[in-house]
Amino acid sequence: MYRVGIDTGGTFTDLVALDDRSGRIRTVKVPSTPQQPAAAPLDAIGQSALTPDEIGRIVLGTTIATNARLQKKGATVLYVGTDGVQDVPIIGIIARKEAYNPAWEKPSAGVLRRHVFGIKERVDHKGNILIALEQAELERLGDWIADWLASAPAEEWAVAVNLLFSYVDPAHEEAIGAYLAERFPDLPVSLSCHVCPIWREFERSATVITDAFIKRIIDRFVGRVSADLQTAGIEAPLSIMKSNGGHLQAESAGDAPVQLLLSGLAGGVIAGARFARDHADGNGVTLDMGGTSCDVGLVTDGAFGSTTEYEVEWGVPVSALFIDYTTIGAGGGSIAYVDAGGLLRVGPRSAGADPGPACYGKGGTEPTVTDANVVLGRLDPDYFLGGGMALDAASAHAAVTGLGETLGLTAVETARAILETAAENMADAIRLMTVERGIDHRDYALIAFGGAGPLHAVDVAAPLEMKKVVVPPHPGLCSALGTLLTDLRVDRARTVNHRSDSADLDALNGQLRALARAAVDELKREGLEGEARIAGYLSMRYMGQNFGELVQLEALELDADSFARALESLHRQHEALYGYALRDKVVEMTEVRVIAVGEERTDATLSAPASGTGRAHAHRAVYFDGDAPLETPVYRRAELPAGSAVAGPAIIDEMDSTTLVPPGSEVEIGADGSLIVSLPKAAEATVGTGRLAPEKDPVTLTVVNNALGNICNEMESAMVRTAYSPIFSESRDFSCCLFDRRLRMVGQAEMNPAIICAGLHTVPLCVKEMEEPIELGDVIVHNDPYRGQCHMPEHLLMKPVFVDGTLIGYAANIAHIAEIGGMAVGSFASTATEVFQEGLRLPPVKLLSRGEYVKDVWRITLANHRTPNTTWGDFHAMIGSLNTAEQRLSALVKRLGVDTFEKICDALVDHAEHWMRNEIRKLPNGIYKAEDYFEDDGVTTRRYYFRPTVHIRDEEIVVDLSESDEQAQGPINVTYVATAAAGCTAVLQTLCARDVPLNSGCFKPLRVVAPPGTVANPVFPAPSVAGNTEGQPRIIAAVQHALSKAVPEMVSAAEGGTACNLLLGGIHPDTDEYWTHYQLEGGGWGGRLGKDGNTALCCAHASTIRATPIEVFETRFPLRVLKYEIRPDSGGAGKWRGGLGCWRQFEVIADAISVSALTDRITEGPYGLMKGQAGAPTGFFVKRVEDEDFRTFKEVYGTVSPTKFVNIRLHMGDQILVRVPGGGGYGDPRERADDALRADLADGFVSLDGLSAYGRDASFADSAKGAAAAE
Amino acid sequence: MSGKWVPFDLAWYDTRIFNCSFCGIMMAREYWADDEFPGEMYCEDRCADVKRRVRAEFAAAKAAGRVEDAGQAGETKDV
Repeated sequence: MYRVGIDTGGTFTDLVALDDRSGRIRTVKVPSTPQQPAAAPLDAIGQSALTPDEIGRIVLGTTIATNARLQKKGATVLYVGTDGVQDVPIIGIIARKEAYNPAWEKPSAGVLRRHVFGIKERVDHKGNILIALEQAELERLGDWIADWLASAPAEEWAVAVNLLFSYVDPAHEEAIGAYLAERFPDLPVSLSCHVCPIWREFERSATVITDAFIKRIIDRFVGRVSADLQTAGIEAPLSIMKSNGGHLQAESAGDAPVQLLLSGLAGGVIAGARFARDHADGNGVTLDMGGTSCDVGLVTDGAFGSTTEYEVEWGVPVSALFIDYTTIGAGGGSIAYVDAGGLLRVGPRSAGADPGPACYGKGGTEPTVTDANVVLGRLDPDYFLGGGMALDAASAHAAVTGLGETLGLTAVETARAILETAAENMADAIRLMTVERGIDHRDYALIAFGGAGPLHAVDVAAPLEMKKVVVPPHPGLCSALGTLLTDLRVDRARTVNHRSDSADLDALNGQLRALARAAVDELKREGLEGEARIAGYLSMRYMGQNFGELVQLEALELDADSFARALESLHRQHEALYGYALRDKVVEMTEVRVIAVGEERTDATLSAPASGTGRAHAHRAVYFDGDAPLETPVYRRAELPAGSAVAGPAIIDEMDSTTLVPPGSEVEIGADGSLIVSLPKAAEATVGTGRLAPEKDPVTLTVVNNALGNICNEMESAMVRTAYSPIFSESRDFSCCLFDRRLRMVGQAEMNPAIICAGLHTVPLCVKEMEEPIELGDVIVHNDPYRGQCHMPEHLLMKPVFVDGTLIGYAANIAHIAEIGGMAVGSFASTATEVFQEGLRLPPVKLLSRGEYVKDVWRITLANHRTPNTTWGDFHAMIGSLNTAEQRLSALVKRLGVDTFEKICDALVDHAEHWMRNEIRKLPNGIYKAEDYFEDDGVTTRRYYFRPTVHIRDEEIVVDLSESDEQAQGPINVTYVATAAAGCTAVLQTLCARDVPLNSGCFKPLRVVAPPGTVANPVFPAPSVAGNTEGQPRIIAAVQHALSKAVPEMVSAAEGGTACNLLLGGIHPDTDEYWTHYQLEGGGWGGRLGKDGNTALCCAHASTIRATPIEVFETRFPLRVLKYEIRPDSGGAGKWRGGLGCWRQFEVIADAISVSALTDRITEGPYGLMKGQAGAPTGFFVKRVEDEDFRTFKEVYGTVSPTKFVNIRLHMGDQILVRVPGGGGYGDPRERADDALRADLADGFVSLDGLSAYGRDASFADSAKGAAAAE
Repeated sequence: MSGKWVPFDLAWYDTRIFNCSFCGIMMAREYWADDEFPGEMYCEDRCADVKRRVRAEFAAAKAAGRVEDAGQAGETKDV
């Protein structure tokens, strides 16, 4: 009997048939059939020449779900959420992707607002039912769904249900599921409690929506394949690959389609695991490189990794278990180009299959990776796809030569630069992936497959110092082979809540047992006949952190000893990943997980050809490192018998791939036919064209630039995963950067623009000012706003980095510490008149000296913070991040050499400056001015004006705020670095800058003038805590308003311009411990030429800020959210409408809490442009238990400002209402297109009352209804 | 342009910080004393140059009516 594995992708469908008895395989490759996806698998089976009764089982991997989601071709989803917070998927996380691109479009979670329903029910974080789900409510939901179904019977509908805290108590969701199943038996319904019972309501909503979106497609595809197989007389059971590396029976596929999302990608990693076991002691990095992208996976001790974090596009997560892999845009079709600063870039843009690379001869003219391979003779134009497709070498040469002219390189040098850049991009992805997981890639082999993997494998492995490359047999068919090497596998997880200091092991064991039972039952339904292997895991974290580490348990039954060992595993894991452990801290367990596996796989017996000449069949000229080509022997793989060896240089061709063996390498043919390439020592450190000095070499510059950025990304990841306060882990209010020893910023993750400039200025100042020498192991802290912090809560931690005793630079991070003492809980002293009221001010001092705690500094600091435990944890998260940077930067510089690194930094800073000057040239010379203002400063009721004058001359800009008002008495003053950040952000956003080279050079052509003593640069002891959050967006808006006189087509109308900052705190009734929280909101962005403003997003200067999820908010703090909804009509009317803000209403459920607040633009909303109207303004309101209505805090408590106040005491049952502003409109609203306005009405973005702003009356609404009915 | 670099004379326990008289940036260790602007402290000699240029350009543009003023935000007027 044969087991048949099929991998059906976008271009080809591959089949591998495995003979159960002999282990022999046969292979087939046929074109995919996108119009009839189920046809290609059957075609492949037909071509395999297997008879129906020879087939024992079929396992199918498919990209159909991936493609449907990416191309947004799925069901129309009706979404059901808890009433009051049903807009969760529309509002999202409020963060954005591109810090400097206001034209960026917020991604959709997959549902329109018109298709959102709020059902009256409520459960709290402990599982208490606050509002029971009534039958009448079910019927109301049913009627709503019936109306939609009747409105468009031909539409493919599906329902996604996601209620708050459904992972704690699923009863309400299950009742909805049962009701809908009875009333609408043919309607697919996805319940979040089944699909992903995890906390964080937005992540759950996006997951359950994706599940509903692809459900019909999966059902139809699987049903069709099953039916076709039956028609063909094939009775063998059909299984479908799951994203987690297991498979399930076809009949179960529709139960949880989200588990099949990456079905087509899992097979490759699984096949890679087999070859890692056979040839690399189980440790391999898989590299699956195709035409468009490259997938990288990890195999450790023979097993592939798993992850629950995957995004179908940026900001749209799917929480399910996936094989752990990463994809980068590096494939044969990746396009090479020179960026505005003169650096060579390769990908992620791809020529695709049509027109494809220039050498395809289909009209493509841009040079690609494949073209570079043709130019260097590495690909044979006459033997591409085994001779199935002729390549046009002349076109490849022409495309590469054209790029070379820009770079000043020959065609051969250019081609080599393209390939090295692509290889380094892949190496960076591997480096990032392995280092993030605490793995040393030098101990791993590279398992290379896919059509293009074997051609690039050695170039990828060499800079990573990997010693071995394995190219499996049939490298183009590995994914299909992988489907045969899988087990039946079920992963089950649920959120729990246990603490190490009061662990109830009986309850924990009960939860593990229940999950295990459910997993085994599911395995049985999927066909398990024997015993299952079950492994248990706990997600553990230090109390206060928001992300955990998954720790495997020795057994499903824990006793005191094995529990203690599990805790020790966490400490060791944490230490390995982040450089420290907190063994004296309470550990929290938040998730139990089991993986149940039923053995099913049969090992394929692969073998090299029994005979073969072992001789080259031809020779051709191939370029490697030298200036001249080498006459290189070319082998057919089928002619290479087991045990033979080939010395490089060599080319090994086969139908679906080409393997490159460079000089000095040697390849052995394994018994299974794998090519095992040993890398020479000499090849390890070669980077660059070799002809040019490193600082002039475009490849080296790109490689180092990417590496510096990646180090910052790793720092970010370490911070998020280990932080204590949600302001780090959820809201991500921090930034990470690197400096060279000349104190130039040389790398920064594109995180929070508000902080980017702070690092630029404050790190050099801090180093210069330190009295004592800075030594290995030191960590310096400061939060002084007069020394370069944006405001007091932001703390700089920096660490010197040495290589062999020589200082090479500094790693630094700046992060918002949630509580630093001072007059207001949460350290947002909105009525402060002196800096002393804003918290503890630290000038630059050592926190660690030579790696040892400077205990006096810690004691002074912690004694002055209200939540010292959180500060302790957050400081350690920052130190862990610095440790990561120290290791990575020193390793990079060791590889390059200290002097070379410095020269490269010179070149990178020059490149960034050049890039910025080129960008500024896009703006017309002139002098432009505008003004904007604070409505009050919290202490007095007068306005304070910012008056920027923007001087543009050729390639330089001066933003001069000299005419701004004198510094304010209250804390709205903006510190120098915050003003400088605002000036730079305003310019970069006007330019819609993408891929900004974030180093010192970028900021050289931009000078911000803010004379001391003004509201744009206060002097000691003026307060400034509010200036950063509210002053920055106001300066940005004013500068862009000025620039609207120069380039009205490039700027947006004003955005909301406030995060509606609320600071909450008190004694938690459950723990008797002090708690504080900094709550942020997302408002509307301004409309701009051709685009409506985005809805509910963070301010312009704070791109990484995220809203704290309701489920985190309520679990951590004694507060309950009653309403979190889109605010209709808040977007300023315009031809291009302003984005909308939100409403948030919540209730106090403690005896008392303290509230401080800060926001502005309460009487006048964000301005419109080009006849567009202003967005709706902001506001805070309060309703005490004894009150009937909401009123302003000024009305109730007599505060000077209605929106800037501190320490108001609220009590049990009191409520706060936050009115989040919309963005300004752009263009005359009367010119708004009818279709767009109809959609606004349908989605409730514009109400009937709001129509008048667009010059329409009620008759338009009637016509809109008519149009909808006609649709 | 003429002037000289002048070190700040501060005791170790003196935590004051000084700003550039023109651009406002913080300064440590030393400042530039420009002969044309006595009594003022500059972060670098180039900053005094920028001051001269920007002030002159602004005055000239203002005199010629070439300063483009978008006015006050919030008025939602046509730009």
